[in-house]
Amino acid sequence: MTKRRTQIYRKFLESDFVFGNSNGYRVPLSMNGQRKHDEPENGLALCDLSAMNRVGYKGADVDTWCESQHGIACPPVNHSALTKNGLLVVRLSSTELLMLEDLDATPDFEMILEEVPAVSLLPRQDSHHVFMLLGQHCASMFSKLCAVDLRYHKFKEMHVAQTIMARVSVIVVRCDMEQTPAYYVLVDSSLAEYLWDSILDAMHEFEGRVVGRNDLAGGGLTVAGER
Amino acid sequence: MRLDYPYGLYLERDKTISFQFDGQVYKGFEGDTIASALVANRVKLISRSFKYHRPRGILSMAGQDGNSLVQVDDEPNVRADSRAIEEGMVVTAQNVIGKLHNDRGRVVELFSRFLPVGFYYKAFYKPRGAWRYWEPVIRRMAGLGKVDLRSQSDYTDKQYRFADVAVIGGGPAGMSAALEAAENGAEVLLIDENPILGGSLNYARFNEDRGEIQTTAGELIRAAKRHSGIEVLTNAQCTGWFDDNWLSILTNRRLLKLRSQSVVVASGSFEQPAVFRNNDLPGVMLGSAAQRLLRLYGVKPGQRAVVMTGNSDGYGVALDLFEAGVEVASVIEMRKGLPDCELTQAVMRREIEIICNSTIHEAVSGPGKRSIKGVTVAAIDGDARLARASREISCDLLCMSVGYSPAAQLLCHSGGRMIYDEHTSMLKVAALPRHGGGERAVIAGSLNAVFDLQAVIVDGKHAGWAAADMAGFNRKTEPALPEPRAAAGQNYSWPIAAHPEGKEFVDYDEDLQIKDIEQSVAEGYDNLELVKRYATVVMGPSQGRQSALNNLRIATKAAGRSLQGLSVTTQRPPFHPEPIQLLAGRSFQPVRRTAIHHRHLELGAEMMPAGDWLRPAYYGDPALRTQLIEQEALAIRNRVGLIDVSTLGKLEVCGPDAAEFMNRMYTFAYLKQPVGRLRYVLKTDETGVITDDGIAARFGDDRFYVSTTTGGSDTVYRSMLLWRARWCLDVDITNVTSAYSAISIAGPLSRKVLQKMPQDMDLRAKAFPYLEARCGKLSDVPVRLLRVGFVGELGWEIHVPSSQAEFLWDVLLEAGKELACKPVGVEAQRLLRLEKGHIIVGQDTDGLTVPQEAAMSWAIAKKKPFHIGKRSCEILSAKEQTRCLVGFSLPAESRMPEESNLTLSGNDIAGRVTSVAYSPALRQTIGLAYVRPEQGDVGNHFEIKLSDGERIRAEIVELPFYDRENARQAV
Repeated sequence: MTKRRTQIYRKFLESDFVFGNSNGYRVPLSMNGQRKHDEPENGLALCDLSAMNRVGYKGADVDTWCESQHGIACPPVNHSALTKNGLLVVRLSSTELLMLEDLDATPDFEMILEEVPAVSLLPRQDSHHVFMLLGQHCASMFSKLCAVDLRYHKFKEMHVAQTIMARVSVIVVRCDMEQTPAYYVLVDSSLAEYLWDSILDAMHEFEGRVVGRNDLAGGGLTVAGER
Repeated sequence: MRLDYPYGLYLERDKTISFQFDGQVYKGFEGDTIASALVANRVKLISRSFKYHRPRGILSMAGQDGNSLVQVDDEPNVRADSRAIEEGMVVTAQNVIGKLHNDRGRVVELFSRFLPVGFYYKAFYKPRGAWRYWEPVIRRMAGLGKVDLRSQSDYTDKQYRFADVAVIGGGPAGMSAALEAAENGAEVLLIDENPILGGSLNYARFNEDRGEIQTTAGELIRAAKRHSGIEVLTNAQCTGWFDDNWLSILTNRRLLKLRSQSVVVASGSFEQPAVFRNNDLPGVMLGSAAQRLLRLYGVKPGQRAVVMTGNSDGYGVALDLFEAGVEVASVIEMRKGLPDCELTQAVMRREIEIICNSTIHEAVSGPGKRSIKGVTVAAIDGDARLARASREISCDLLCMSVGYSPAAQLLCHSGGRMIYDEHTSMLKVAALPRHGGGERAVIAGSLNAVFDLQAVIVDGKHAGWAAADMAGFNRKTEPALPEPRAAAGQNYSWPIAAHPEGKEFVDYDEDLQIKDIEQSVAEGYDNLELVKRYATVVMGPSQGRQSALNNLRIATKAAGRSLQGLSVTTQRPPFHPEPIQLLAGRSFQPVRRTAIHHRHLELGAEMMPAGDWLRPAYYGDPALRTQLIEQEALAIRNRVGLIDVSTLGKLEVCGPDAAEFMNRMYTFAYLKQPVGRLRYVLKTDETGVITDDGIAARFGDDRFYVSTTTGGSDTVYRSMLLWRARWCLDVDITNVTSAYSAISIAGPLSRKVLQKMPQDMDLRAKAFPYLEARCGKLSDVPVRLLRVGFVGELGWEIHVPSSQAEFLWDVLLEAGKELACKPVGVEAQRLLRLEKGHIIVGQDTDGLTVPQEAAMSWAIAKKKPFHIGKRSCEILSAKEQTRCLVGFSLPAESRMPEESNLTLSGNDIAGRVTSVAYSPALRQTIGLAYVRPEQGDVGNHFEIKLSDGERIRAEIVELPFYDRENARQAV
């Protein structure tokens, strides 16, 4: 067993998942015999991406820092942007950023951490879990849990919502995968199992299912992409 | 009784359904309601009234009255005229003693003269205490169905919905409004309570040519359904309108919480009954109810009908009945002359008798009052006075079409208002809700006192445009308003005919007659709100839908006032009955789990709640709870144990002003706290009351790592953010409670366990003394080690990134295996800290405890100029103290008190026990308690009053109870 574990890794142990090591975690990569995307019921998927690198940065000079270090203008509050080396920069407040490794790229995260003045680092890797929800029924499913309108035409790509889902605080970032609506949901680690179960329950009526990380990346997407 | 197609719009005639009512099996079609299927089977008696157990049948056929309440399986108070039948459904009558047809409760009516209005208030309050005997009797008599306490709850949930424009009501006005709003670019949600759109178009008779109505209905319904900007919700009831256009909508299994930018209310009107003797018997119904039975359910409501009318719609009813094959004996026209309208002409052409300037004096009851066999007619003489009844007409059906009342309840929920207009004899909407400082609501159709069909459509269109405009969508120019046409003629001004023998019901729900309303006013309750409460008028299941208007008329006349401008009583949500299971829905109960949670379960832990968290209380069989807790406590005293303390709050305070910030937030001194040292933190609020405690580790000149109590992390964090803003200090505060897990390793062998693990820190006493902190690695896991002594033994809190906490826990247990290291739960931890006399904030303190009372004055730095609550602490210190926290012990033979048992000074309450437990290390019962200061010296005795009243003696002893020299934690 690896040293690092997500709070929900046990939920995969009894499932028919293929596992692999990533970033010090043992993660479910894909489910054996996964159904393919042309099946109509594949309209909603949930994936645990808590093994993914992430870190927070807090400081008065986030705008300058973001531009000088990553070559992009810092996104406005409650918006996000992708850097050239595949880092998703999420602006949470005028003085706070959250950075997530993008699924399609592997930035040198250790290097990124070194660039940041230590005083301003926030331990998002351990404080929060990251789930991804994707598929055409995402917004309908969210509406069972969250009072913010996260429908595709209202909550556009790269928008960020810091809101309540199933009575717990979450950060929602819309970051589509090609044509498929996709949302990152970040939740306090101690509430990760609770929210995971709440989402699974809400997904039930849409026949949503749990997928592994490899089911998302590299074109192996197995959920319908119609918006 | 069944009519062929095109009658029966809702029916699927190829699907027959069997159900039971009152023990008999009946058949209906899919789409039938319980009531329509019963009428089709010639059953008119559906229920018994609340007070007198009078027979009741269909009144509105719209789910809007209390006459149709029945029990369906284990569900009480189901409206038979709106609940669809299902195969095997078992329907029973409510409020019946014996059988529905032969209800022994009918005897109550014989004593009705002894049951005047306000009877309950007058009869049962004396002699003192009598109510407790009467209450069960009255409750048994006043049954409204039976709740089956064994029934299983179903899965229901809630969903948020969003729209630019919400349209309530899918009739002609609502559909027109929805289409116009959508054409202007708005996203529209069109909500209707019926199974299909159309509203009154599906049953009402706007003119002689019904084909024209059907064409209009078809066009509007198709357009609304096809429009991409409109989402249609049928079988959905909007039950409340709250701030910022928050609308609650009930569907079969789900409560929808809709938020819209603007709202069109096109909820229509309620047809109103006339008031005359026996107006409540089965066979007497609203004209629209008869039309619904015909058009929607394909059922003839009777064989021979009389129609009582005061408007043109009554002629439509007569026409519909005639065309459906019902013999229409007469139309009783209350007005003096015949109205010159298309429908009247059509009735006259069919040679139906019309009797003008007359009213129904009495419905003549059939056997057992379970039906009517005719009506008596009286001429109206002058100002609403009646001439003697002059004629009896035999019939089994009496339809009433005498006027409407706007269905404006939703508007009134949110600040709207209705007033009476004498010109039209109607209630009209006089004010609309305003949200967010502006107009956000529009009304249309008959709710807006527009009744002509073409005018209704134009009115709806304008409302849709206006609502879209309010929501920021205005692609099109403003459409025309309908021609102003007075609604005069829709309502007859006084559809009330008093009878010398009474039984003219104003409120069907509560069996209230004209004399009851008049008597209420005569007794001084002359304000409508007082009449409501005294007479209980409009307080029944129908909430005044059929009684508010006539009650207003009768009460106002009795009080000798003018009706003009008066309003009805307050309308409150919900507009429709809301099943509790839908309100409860799927509830969310967040539970926080530590990163080691599942390992605890695997080790056999019995979990307990601690705030939002779950923590292991102890490990093992609950039947052995006490022994297990003692064994765990002794493990730490004698060897070594591990406690998961991840639930402690953890905050990072960083920045140039970090030390100054800490110095102001907490009572101790932190400016000179050396880097690498720990210091106790005690937090008081502005009033000097203890609110939290913990420890602060200084990891740098500008960096503190602070712990809080389990329940205090969010509160302390918020408080820190607030004070940082007020003080404008250069400091960043981060809540890292979940980022770090914490494992307490304690016991004389704890150092040995750590030294067995790969690590890069010198753990020897000199290198790592008590109350010091280090950062390093244990088994290659980055950790923060805090050497603390909460349980009074050699020990450390190991703070570790949460993702690696379970791994580290496993490694620690493995390393400690040879030393018999045990996992230890919260209960043992609490016992151990009690032995050391350490308080738990929230248990040994309350919302008023100041430091000096809890013997915590040592934790206040006297020399520093400020901390939150310092001034209050100083003022309180100068005052006489009223209580003090002391340690006590009990003799071996003494009974064990419970926490919160009272402590006494003589016979007076001195305080309470805050903590108590049997100490296996000390072999005696010890505790903490508040006593009077004069009692508080060591060696004194005081009394504790146990829960059963027995008093026991306790001796005050010096703290700590265990290891008074504090030597064990410093080794």
